[in-house]
Amino acid sequence: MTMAPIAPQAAHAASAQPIPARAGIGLRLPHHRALREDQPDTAWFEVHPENYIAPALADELAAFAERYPISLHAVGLSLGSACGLDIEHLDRLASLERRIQPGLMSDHLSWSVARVGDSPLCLPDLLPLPYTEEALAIVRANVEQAQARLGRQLLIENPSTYLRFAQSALSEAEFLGELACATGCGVLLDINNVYVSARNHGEEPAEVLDGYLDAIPAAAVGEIHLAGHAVRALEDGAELRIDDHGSRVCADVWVLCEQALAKLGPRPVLIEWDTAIPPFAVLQEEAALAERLLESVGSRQACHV
Amino acid sequence: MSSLAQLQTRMAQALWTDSAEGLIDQIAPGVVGAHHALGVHRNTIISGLTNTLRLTYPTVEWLVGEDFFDQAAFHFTRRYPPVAMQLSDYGREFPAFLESYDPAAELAYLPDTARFDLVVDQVAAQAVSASSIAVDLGNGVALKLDGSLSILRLTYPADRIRDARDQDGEALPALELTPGVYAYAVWRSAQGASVRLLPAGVAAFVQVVLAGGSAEAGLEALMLDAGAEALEQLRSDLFFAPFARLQTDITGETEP
Repeated sequence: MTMAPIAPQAAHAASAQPIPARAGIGLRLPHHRALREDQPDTAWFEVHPENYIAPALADELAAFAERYPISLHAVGLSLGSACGLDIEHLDRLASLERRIQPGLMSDHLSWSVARVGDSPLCLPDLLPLPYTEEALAIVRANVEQAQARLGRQLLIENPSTYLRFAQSALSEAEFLGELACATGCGVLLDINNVYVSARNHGEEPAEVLDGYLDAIPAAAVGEIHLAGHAVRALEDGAELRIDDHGSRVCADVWVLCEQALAKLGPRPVLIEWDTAIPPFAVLQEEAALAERLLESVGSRQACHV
Repeated sequence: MSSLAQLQTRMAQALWTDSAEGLIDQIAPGVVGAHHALGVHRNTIISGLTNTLRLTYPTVEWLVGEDFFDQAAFHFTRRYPPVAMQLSDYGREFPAFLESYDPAAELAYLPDTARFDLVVDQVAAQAVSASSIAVDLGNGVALKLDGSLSILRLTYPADRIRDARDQDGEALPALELTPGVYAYAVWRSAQGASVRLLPAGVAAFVQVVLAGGSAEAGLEALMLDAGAEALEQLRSDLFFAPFARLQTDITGETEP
């Protein structure tokens, strides 16, 4: 596959702090004080830009961005919506992007907005797409429009899924690979999501991950996400895995992460935690584990050179 | 309409109405049944919207408790579906909704508490104001008001409820929640949203000038309420309030 040229970076991007191939932490409001007062030794942070549209929080994020590399991980672009992008929302994110100059910017392979009657219905969730040629064309157009407006490459994250559509003709990995090649977007590989989706669909996670690593050009993978998930037993005996970002990364996901890094080489690895948010020190512990994994993979690769 | 648009409309309706008719046959059979899968999405959507309301209306939640709040939030979301992706703007109709929410009928102060929470949340979201609104008082004297200033007029003293919450509820049983006129100045200070109770006439003056009216028009509104006390109220409750400052052509800013 030939990759399309990556969208041009904005003129200011040269002054942005790049995201290093180290462990970062998803920054949430309860930890702002820890950042302000303790200035922790964390390689980089990622935030949801939708939480920083308000001027007071945008000011605070701008102050953090002077000390740390920042990645903006959007949840509201709704890149899979057939009704197109919300231009007003895109403009808000573009404005924040110009101010923060993030090292990376990303959103999800999902949709949140649909037309119901005469008005949009905006559902705060990352809803699944059918992986069809029609959907690929729509997502491609939306990603191209977003990248053009932002003046930079977006990384697109594989979501956790609980259902699949009967009409899907491509695997999610193939869909993402095609999208990356067509638009020049990058891929944010969420290993926990790979694991959750695989288990929910009765598949072997390591094999599914191999499918991603085969279908997506290695150069396109710009970041890795790790998080915890919940496990629910259903009445029929089946097991449901829910991507709630509410616990430590599970052992199986660490193994998958090692598998991915061994093939991709070092990448920025993010620890996310969004529900039952623990003290910042717990996130630092998780980040330290990711950092050790990165060092171990890096030194093994150095030995093989 | 593309088939993807049709599918998304159908799925959005299924998630919003709990009826998956017309959608189930498009979902591939899997380990997790379609109803369970849709249930995960429904929970995420409802909890996302409820948490948005929880963040905006913390005093309301503290007053009524989590279960009551969650129920009220659920009924609110049914009536007011989100139509924009910027969730921080969601839920501005919640105070008015509580007016007509039957289970809260006996909590007459609840809608005002919500109005108070909403204004505090909106003001706190602003940047510390570098701008000000100048009111010409004549003779080279101007009153400068903080650019973030809002006036909130309530029937119940919501600040006392908020203060009780901040003191872990110790003061709540002793609170007098007598209906009356409670007018608040709310502005963005370095600490966040600051609140000060104002005499009703002073609040009327500020409301008039914030709306672009002249000092004369503001004074008329003040006099209606304060009568002979008007000038003393201006001096004691406005001119040297933390959200205001007097400036003269000759001396610059005045000190209290």
